[in-house]
Amino acid sequence: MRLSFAGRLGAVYAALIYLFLYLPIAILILYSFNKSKLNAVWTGFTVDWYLKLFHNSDVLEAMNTTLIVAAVSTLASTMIGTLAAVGMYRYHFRGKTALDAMLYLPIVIPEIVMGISMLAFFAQLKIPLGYLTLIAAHITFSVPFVVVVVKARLAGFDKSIEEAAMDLGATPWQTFVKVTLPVIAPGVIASALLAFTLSVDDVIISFFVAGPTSPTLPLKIFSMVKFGVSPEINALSTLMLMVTLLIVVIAERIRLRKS
Amino acid sequence: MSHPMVVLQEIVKRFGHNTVVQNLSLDIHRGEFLTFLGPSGCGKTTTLRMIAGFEQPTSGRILLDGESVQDRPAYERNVNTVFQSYALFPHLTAYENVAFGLRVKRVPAAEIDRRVKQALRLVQLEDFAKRKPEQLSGGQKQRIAIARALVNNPKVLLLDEPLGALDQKLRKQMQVELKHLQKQLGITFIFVTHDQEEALTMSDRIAVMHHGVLEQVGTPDEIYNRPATAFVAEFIGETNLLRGKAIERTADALLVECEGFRLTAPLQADIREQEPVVVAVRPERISLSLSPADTPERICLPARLSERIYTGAFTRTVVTLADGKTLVSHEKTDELLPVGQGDSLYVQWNPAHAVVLKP
Repeated sequence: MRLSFAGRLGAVYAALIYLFLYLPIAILILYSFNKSKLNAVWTGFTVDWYLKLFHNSDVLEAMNTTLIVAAVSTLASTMIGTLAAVGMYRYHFRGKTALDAMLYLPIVIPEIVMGISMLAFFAQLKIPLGYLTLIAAHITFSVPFVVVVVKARLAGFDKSIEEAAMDLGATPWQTFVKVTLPVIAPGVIASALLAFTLSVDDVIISFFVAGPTSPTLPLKIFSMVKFGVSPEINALSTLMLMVTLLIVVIAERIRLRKS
Repeated sequence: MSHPMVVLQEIVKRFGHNTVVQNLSLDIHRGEFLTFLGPSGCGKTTTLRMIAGFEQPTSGRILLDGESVQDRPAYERNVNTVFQSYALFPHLTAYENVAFGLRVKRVPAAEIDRRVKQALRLVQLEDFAKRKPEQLSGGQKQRIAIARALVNNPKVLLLDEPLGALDQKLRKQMQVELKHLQKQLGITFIFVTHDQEEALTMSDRIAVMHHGVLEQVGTPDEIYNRPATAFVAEFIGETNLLRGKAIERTADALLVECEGFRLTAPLQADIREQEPVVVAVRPERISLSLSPADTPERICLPARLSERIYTGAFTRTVVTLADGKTLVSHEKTDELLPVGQGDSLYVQWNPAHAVVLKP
């Protein structure tokens, strides 16, 4: 079937959009395997840049920081966010609408504002910048996302099954552990994976609250870029991209499987 | 005599400014099948939820087997509920759903297995033990919900419109099964429904509620044949209501005058002379004839045939009285009076079958 002029225009338009979205990433991945040190000419295939990365102690140190911060902040923000979502779902009280809205607000507050305000806050309290401040900041910006995802899962939750559990003799705590949590588990796991990727990827807020001795991986990349984009950075970015993509794919699968 | 299983004492329940249950007092006996019947929003489900412990009465007391359960949360009351939406745990199999109550009470594993299997056998779903709720039909889910409640040997089983979501045929079948279960187990059942037919077929006693007020409590026969209020008369079955006035009150009877006739009814304590009344007569009590009644005790009025509606075993026949008021009579379909639309006839009934009520 021949496409009409408008149809062809539409196809070209769509192709351009996808090209714009994915071409830079494709080039980045491609050049991470380039023999040349320059991001301009292709001189042959190599995995040297990846091997080099794993011998760079600064990079490994940053990776370690990133993983520790991500693991702790994911655990904490998932617990806090899940309890907040369940509480907001279960109870009715004065000022609930306002509190509910204020939970989501950090999602739209500019990150730079969050970063500066946290830096000022930690300085006021004389807390030295380091792991503690990084983790606290990451928990703060992850919690709203956890709440959003878990709340979406709770929207389809039949409240009467909690009543049924209590009717059968389960205490509120038993009801939460044996009924509520298993039913919303896909949402909780998906939100944890989301919190993990948010933590791994964050640059701006981390920039303000990370101490000089504890840069995260994105911060490390950021400082390396100051001396030009090397294939090593391409390789590191590619690895981060793969890890993030993998987690997002797993999160989506879990979220869709049981809903 | 032993004390009642459930005692409701002057229960009041308000949500904000909205009073949903007004001063309700009722004793529910051991092993009784009691139904709360009423239109939606009459407070019947709220009453059930207060007995279960999901709602707290604003004032009044609830006794369960002689003990006040006011301060006891739902999970410490020995009653179990069958929910309208079934409320099965979606992540557990049918077997685990039934075992839930025993597991949280830390009953030994061997006993759990024995009791769960017995409960599944009771509802004839032993072969479906491994299924998840989503793999069960509506009727099967309902049975699992019943088994899940009964396996705990509750003192009282609360049923909140449990058959509402089932189709007509399955509903009738479940009504019979529930009634049998209740007789077999001897457990007190408190059932909530808005379906008057369901209430009449299943209950030992019916408590009719309207706008949060308990209108009447009685056996199905009393509720149907001796309604205490005009609401009960109209809500349960079909009825003809005729307006009139109390004209004379004697020691034990009341003389009532309506358009075209007078009748004497047993005295209702709260009706005085000169007060307006309504006379309620069931359509199946009204017979049609070509000539006036030969016994003077029967009430007999001239009328014209307006409409006939075939409904199966009987035909709904609508007649119009001289004053324009219409009455409905149920005629046996194979014995219809040989008259056509607009023809004159007589309606008659035995005054003993009429009930005089406050309007």
